[in-house]
Amino acid sequence: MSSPLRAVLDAFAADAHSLAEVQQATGLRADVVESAVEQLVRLGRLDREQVGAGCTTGGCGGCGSSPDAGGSCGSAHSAGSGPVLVALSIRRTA
Amino acid sequence: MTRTVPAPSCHGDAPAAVLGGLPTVALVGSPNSGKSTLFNSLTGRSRTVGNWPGTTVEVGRARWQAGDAELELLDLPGASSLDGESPDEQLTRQLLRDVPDLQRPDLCVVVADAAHLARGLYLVAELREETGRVVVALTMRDVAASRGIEIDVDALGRALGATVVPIDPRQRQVEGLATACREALAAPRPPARSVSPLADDDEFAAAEERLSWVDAATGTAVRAGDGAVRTLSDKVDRWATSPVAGPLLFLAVMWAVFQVTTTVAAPLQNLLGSLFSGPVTSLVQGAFGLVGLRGSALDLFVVNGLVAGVGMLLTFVPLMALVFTLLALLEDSGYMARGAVVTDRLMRRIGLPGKAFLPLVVGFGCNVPAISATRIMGDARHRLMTALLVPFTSCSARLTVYVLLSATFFPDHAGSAVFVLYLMSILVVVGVGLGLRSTLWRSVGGERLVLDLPPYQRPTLHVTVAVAKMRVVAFLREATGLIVATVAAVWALQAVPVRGGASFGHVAPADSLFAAVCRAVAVVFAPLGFGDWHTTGALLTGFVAKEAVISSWAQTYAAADPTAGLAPDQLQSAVSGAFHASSGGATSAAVWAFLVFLLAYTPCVATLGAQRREIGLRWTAFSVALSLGVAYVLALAVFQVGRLL
Repeated sequence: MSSPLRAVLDAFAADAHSLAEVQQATGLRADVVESAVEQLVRLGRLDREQVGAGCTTGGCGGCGSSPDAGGSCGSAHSAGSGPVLVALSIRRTA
Repeated sequence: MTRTVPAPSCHGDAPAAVLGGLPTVALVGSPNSGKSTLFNSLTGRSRTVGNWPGTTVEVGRARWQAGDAELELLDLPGASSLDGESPDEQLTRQLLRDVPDLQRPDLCVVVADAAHLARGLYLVAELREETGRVVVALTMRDVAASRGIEIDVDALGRALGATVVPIDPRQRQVEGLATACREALAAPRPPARSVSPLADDDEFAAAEERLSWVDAATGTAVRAGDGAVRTLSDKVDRWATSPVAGPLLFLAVMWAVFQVTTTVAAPLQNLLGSLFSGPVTSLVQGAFGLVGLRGSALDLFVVNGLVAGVGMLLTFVPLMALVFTLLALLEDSGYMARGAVVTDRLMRRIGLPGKAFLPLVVGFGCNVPAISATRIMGDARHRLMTALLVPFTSCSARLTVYVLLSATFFPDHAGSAVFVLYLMSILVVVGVGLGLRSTLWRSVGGERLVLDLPPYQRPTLHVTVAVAKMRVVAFLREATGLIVATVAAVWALQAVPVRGGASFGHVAPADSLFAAVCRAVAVVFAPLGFGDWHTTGALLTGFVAKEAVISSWAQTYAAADPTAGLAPDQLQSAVSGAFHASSGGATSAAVWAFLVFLLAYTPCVATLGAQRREIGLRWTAFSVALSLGVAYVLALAVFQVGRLL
């Protein structure tokens, strides 16, 4: 039987779409999966990206919402405290 | 018990002087584990906070009267591992592991959140690799219980080889901790837990061993409720993220958004349209009459250019505000994150790299940041392929044209028509993606992505309003900046006569340079059913920005009747007539072909600029050719098939 860390990494490489599915695939408790992900990110095995669905955050170039264009995107006021979606993926080694 | 601490700083920002050689207890734990709340609860907020000597990391320090023992309490920075690389984690590692044994704290209290137990206990696994004393302070048991997690504290303590004390610092219920600390300090140091020898540099193996130890230690002491207690988020997610119901629910929600938007905003849009074509136009014309410039080139530019073109675009403000508000509500509730799971599932099924969906989702708001967002992709080929796909995502600027034409030609089903266009946008992204994969990018693998979904929450007014406002302001900024410049350029081209008998600014639109150029290009669009010069002019200015399609139409039709402004229904009637004439009567087929062309061809100059920055000039040129080619072929197919039906 593989270790929790290995099992979580394998679930990422398989067909899991969410952490709930990783939990189902590995049979581990949610907190163990959460800790495994934290350590895998720290070890550089997983990449972690914050996703702004439909939002214009991040490297906005010519976007009218960007601070460079006088907009308030990315400011504490504009960002508010909405829920944050985080995407995790296996980091590919060069 | 004696100890030595690192030399106190001679500067004022040191975390206070050594507190008289008292036994030292260090509070450690993951960020947000409740460590500082516990520290305040134990010391009555009498802490001294300062940077640790030689670092910029803050450390709290205070005396703690633990029953009859006086102790020195340190609030170390949050760390989820002693191997972390952040300055906080480095200092924690330095004080707990790197310094000689005698300089370390006499006791470590690991603050562990019961609802996220393994996170906290990972630190215990690391600390127990050596002989230091450890006590576990278990917080948030009420939250864990509400999730069906029960913890046998005694069994957990036995498995960890450390005393476990349930506490609730928020309610100041911390009594047991003082006793546990006194007893631990009085007892000899416990032996280190046995760890199989590992290669020094094998961090993965070390983490694997520690987490396995945590899993085994908690295995018998923690009961996670065999799924009987599910949060509301879990219950909703069973449907919202399921492979079949999830996409159907997502489509239904998006259909409802467009249906509500087009239905509710229509009266407001008409009202604003009447305002611009009536009182605003009269006011401007009156003002020019007062200064004797009525009928001058400037008058025509302001009335037929700015008021008609930009004014028509501004009538869409209520619609955009409504759609942005509804989308902000969905985002703030957490539902949009579920939409991301649905999208990711689709991307994976067709073999596109999972990470590609991140910029593509952003692209439905605005293509420019979406192109920049391709930077998150490590593989250069993935980045390039995604940057070529982003222009096919239907940004919010295109929504204005969708709504105008849907309301004109399908007034009873405008919301559904807009919804179909968004669906088509997704299909075009998928189709082109598959096409690129099977030709240029055959070796691109499907990168797996796992989403950490936030729980659902009740949307908050201030966040929803702030997000919607930010996007409406961006729309207004575009309308009053780039679009004004485009209107000026179109006006100038419309003012230049190409036939004799007319002078600059006093020429019928059909005899202007603008019309001549558009008429020459319009031949290309004849097989698509929209080879009319006004329509072609709108598409040409649409290269600058998609909002310019509306302003260009309004401007060219308003200029045809310089004596009056142009109300929305007049514009719709004029556009309708043009499509009818250019399509030989197959109006609906031509309109759908136009909408598909608009959906797929180059979004705007700002997107081209972003592409040039990210993928270079050659690939940007390829992208323009690709989007024009795809748009043309699709529109041709739609018109030619559509007119036969």
